[in-house]
Amino acid sequence: MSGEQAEIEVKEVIARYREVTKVRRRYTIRAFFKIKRGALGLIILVTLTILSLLSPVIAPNPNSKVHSELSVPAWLKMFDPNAFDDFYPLKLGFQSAADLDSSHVLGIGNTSTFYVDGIKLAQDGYLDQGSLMIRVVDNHTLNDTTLSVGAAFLFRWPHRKHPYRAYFGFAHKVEIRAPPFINDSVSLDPNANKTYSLNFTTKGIAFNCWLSISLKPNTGPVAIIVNSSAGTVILNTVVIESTEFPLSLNTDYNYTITLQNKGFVATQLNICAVADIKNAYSASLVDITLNIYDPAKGSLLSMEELLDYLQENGVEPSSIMQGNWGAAEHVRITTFIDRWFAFGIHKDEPNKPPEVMLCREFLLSPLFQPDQWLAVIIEIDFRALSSSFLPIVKLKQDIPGGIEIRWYIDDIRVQAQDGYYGLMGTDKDGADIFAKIIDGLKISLLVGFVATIANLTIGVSLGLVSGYLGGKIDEVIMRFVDFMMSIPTLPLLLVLSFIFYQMQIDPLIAIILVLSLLGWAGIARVIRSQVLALKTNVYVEAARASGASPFYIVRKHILPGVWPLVLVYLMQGVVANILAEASLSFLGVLRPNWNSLGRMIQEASGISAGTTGGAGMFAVHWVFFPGFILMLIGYAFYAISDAYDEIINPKRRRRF
Amino acid sequence: MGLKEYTIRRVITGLITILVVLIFNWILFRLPSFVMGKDPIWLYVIQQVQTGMDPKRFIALLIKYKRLWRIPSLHAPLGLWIDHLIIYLKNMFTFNFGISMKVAEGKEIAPLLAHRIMYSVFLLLPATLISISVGILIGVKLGANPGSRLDVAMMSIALMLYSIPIFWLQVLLKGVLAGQLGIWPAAGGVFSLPQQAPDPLIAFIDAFYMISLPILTLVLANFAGWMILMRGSLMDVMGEDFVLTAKAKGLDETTILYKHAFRNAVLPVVTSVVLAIAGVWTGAVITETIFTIPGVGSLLLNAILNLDYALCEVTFYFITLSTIFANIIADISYALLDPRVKY
Repeated sequence: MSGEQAEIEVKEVIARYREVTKVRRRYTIRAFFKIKRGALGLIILVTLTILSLLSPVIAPNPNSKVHSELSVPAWLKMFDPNAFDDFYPLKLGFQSAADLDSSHVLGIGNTSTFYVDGIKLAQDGYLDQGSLMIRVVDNHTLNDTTLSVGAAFLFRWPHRKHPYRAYFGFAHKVEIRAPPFINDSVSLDPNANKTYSLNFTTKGIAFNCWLSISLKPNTGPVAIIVNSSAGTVILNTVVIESTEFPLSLNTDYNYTITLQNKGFVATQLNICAVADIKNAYSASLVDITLNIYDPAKGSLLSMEELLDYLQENGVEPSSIMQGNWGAAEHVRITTFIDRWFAFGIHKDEPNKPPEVMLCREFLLSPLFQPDQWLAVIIEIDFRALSSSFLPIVKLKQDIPGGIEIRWYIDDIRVQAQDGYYGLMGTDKDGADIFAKIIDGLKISLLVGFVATIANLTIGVSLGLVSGYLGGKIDEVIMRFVDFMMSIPTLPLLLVLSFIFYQMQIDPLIAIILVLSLLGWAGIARVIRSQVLALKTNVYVEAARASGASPFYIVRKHILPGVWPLVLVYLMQGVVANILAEASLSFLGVLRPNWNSLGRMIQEASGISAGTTGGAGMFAVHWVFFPGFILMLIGYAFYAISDAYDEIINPKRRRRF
Repeated sequence: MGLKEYTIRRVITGLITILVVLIFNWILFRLPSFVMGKDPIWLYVIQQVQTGMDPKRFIALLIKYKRLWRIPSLHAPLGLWIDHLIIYLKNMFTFNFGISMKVAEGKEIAPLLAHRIMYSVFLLLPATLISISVGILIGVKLGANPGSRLDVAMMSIALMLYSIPIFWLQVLLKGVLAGQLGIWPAAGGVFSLPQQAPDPLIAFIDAFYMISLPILTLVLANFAGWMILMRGSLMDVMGEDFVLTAKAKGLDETTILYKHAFRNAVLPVVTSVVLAIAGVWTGAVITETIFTIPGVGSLLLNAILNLDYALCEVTFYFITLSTIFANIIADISYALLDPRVKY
């Protein structure tokens, strides 16, 4: 046989070998999908991986509130005949006069001294044009410092079941205006004079006043002289364009304001003098209360009637916070003067549901009865801010027409939620559990795979070295393996995490490091015994006899025999590491700052920092789903490795 | 080599392992200060003050706690560190553990640990015994008829129990049974051991009732492992020649199973049983945390979360020590029971 022929034969053998490998691989894949468990496991795994990778798209903000807290999964609705979809029993944008019909202004606290000048639609609005404006004028007595105004907005509760949570939101703005002492439009010829006088009946008050002059362009200049009756000149200046001057006035004196045209042309000008009243009142507190509306009487229940009603329905009067007009949770919120303030609704996301709870749980069932009319009452207290501003409130009798308060209300919403949300419900912060899970799954899978690959790298290389080389190296490595296996895993995990936490390593890196450093010992031991068995094969001996290097033999002859075992260990290791990560997050040793499945279970269990927790916030769905997903992952990996084992393991193939 | 020599060798290797563990432990707990470049005591003091401890009180404790003072500064010569290591080893071997700085402020660690062990044993001994007996009983049934309907069902349950995190099961059971349904008393809780109560018997029953839920969850989580072990072992033995011979002789199934197969199959299980029972005082971190049982495991976790170095070090040392001893006992007992074993 010539060398050439031998060459050809070798080539043929190699080609046939490749063919056989290909066929075997194809057979393996086909056989794998024939085993239902394996296919199911693979489908679960692929689905979960894709979901977790897509989580930035599906759930960009997994921790934001999306629904009422502890909502149960939406598919549970089919067991609840009275379930309803989330809806707005009250939603008023005040775009048209029709919106005014469902609201009425209740009046004011100190009845004799103030009066509500009426309600009407205003042009100005929060999200869009149009809002409700309540105008209150304060023009009578000297000494009152507080007035409260309330507006009730009526809605009917249509369902058989009370809502799980009712949320509320609105926007409002307060303007405080004083009509000007002087507001005049005059025409002055050159060198002509015009004099105004300010006479006060209030005495002994110093206050600020704004004097504003507006000139037509290309006219003037105009001289302004302000004299007090005490003989001092407060202002003496010449203006050539529209200007404002602050004046400090004292009501003990009278003032004269003289305008004189210093130019050569006739001049049109407006003069306006107005008390600086902006800070006279504050409206820092707004109360939101609920009451029942009686359509027959056309009025709300009185406080006594309401309390009696609630007591009949088993609500302790002591637990009810009471407002002036309603008995419910009353929320105190801040108000700014001359600026829109939104409570529970967002300007950027106008369609987002409101965020503020309307009343507490125990009031929902007595108040939200079928076909009952309810009123949300928004009540605002205007107060003289402090004693230093009291003079200005006193001044109101000298302000022509009284001090005017304009209260704008817009975008009132009450949203009723029935406590069903999404695939898996929400947690105690109202965040979507499904979103949190797929967000956390990303980290779980990452940690699981990276740590397992590290484990396998360490374990397989040590096992190969130990098994193939034998002798002293084997002895040393195996003693080390024994040592690692004799230390209980969980305490060692905890202590290592503690040490890494102390070194201020990033928790994610720390958790991967900890899991990589442990968990390889068993693999090394099994791989070693497998290598010991493979080493005795004739082909290994033949390779060694023909002068192959140890590295070559391990790579070409031993590694392929170890490979199926490595795959099985990969599957089992990923599960073990994912569970270990969940346990560490559950115990909170590394203070993980990501959404971890273990951490979610910890939050749900109420156990924090290793101390006790009550079962008060417990909700089955909150705990169930994170663990269920862990179980699914575990099942998927076990099923895949089991199916794979069934194909490659000749013993099992025979049995089934 | 006889059994005696084997025992001696096993004890000696065990002692060496303990020594290695101690040195490993010593290095591990001093590692952060080297990495952070801060003196051990400073790191400790700073952390404790950061977590809200009164510095004056802390320094008073430090003075009382002399072992910690002997920790050299970071830049001390090597000799000083070796001296420190020797003192440390001596203290650890003589159970002179020092005091806890944070978890039980200023108390001696050794009695604290001894007190905690009782709770761990009270939880884990019944749990382990029950799960072993249940697991072995079912495992024998399954191993005798592999492939039966019961076998498939139980193996699926085992697979499921394997892939669920135990803490999830416990939180769920605690929340539903103790929280929502209120069937169980407030789930474990800090119960009092019988000798502290006025009527020992009632107190004992009470305590056992309280702890039955954690025990139940532990049994649920653990019995599957025993079941699979027993089943596999029995299946191996059932395939051996002497069983075939017994069958050929016409012995009935029960006799073959219990007189011939079971006795041989239970041997490898015994090792694990000894290991498990000898390890009951090492505590169960997760179970004790969830059911607020003041055992060794929750002590370790508390020490870790409160940055109590000394306590953490000692508890971890204790757990490792117990496990190594359990390993030694298991190995020797196996050698004792199975004459075929080659030393």
